[in-house]
Amino acid sequence: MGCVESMNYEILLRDGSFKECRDYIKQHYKEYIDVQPGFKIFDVYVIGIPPIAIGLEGDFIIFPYTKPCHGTYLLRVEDTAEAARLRALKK
Amino acid sequence: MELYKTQDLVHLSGEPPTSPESALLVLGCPQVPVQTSIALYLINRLKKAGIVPVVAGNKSANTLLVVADPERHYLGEVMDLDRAVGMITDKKRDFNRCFVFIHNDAGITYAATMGTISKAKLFALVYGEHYEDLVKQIDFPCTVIAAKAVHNPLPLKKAIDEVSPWAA
Repeated sequence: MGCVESMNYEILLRDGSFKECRDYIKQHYKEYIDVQPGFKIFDVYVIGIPPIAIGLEGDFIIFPYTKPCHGTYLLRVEDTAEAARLRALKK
Repeated sequence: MELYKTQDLVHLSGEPPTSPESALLVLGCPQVPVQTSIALYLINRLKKAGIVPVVAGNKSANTLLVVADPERHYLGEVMDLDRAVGMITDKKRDFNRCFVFIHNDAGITYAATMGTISKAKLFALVYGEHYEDLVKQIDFPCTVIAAKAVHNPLPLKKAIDEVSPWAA
C-alpha cells in the first residue's frame, strides 16, 4: 500500500474506528458501493469489516485506509478513471 | 546416491509427502509490550507442533522480533503485512491457521479481513487494557483468545495454553 503516500489525498477522518468511517460515508455520500476486504482500489488492497463502503462523488473516491498503529483514515482521492471503474461495478 | 534419492521421495505410507501445516501471525501495533513476547512464545509452540510459522507485521513490529532473535532460533519467514494481505487476496498464498494480534480497532479490522480473504482457521488474540470492549466487536467466525495483558504476558499465555491452538 505504499502508493497511498504518493497519492494526492485529503484526509476526511483520522485515527477513527472502521465503523466511524463506514458511517461517515453512508451519511455524507448518496453514491457508494459495498465491497469485500481485499478489493483493490488503485494499487491498494482495502481492508476492513465487510461490507466495506466506498463513497463516490463526481471524480472523487472516498475509502477507508487502516494502519495498525493509527487506526482507520478516511481518504478522498480524485481519479476520473478509477471513479468510472467503480461506478461501472454498480451496474 | 540414486538409491537414496528414490527413498527420500517415498513416504512410509506409500503416499506422496504432504506439505507441513503453516500459520500466519498477523502482528498489530507493537505499542503494547506483550505482543512481541507472546509472538515468540506462539512461534515456538507452533514449531514444536510441526507447524511452520510466518510473521506479518509493520516495520516496527517485525523489527522488534528480528532484533530479539538475531540468529533466528524461533523466527522463520517475516514479511510486510500489506504484502501478506496482497498475496492472500490474489490467492498466491494461504495458511492453515491465522493468528491476529488485537489491541485496538485496527486489529479487529485486520482480523475481519483475514477471515474473509483467507481459508485459514482464524484465531483472534485480544489483549490490552480494553480487551473486553474489543471482544464485543468481534462478530465474525473465529476463536477468540482474550486476556487483560499489557505488560505481563502470562495471562494471555495462560489463555492460549488453554485453547492449545497448535493442536486444534
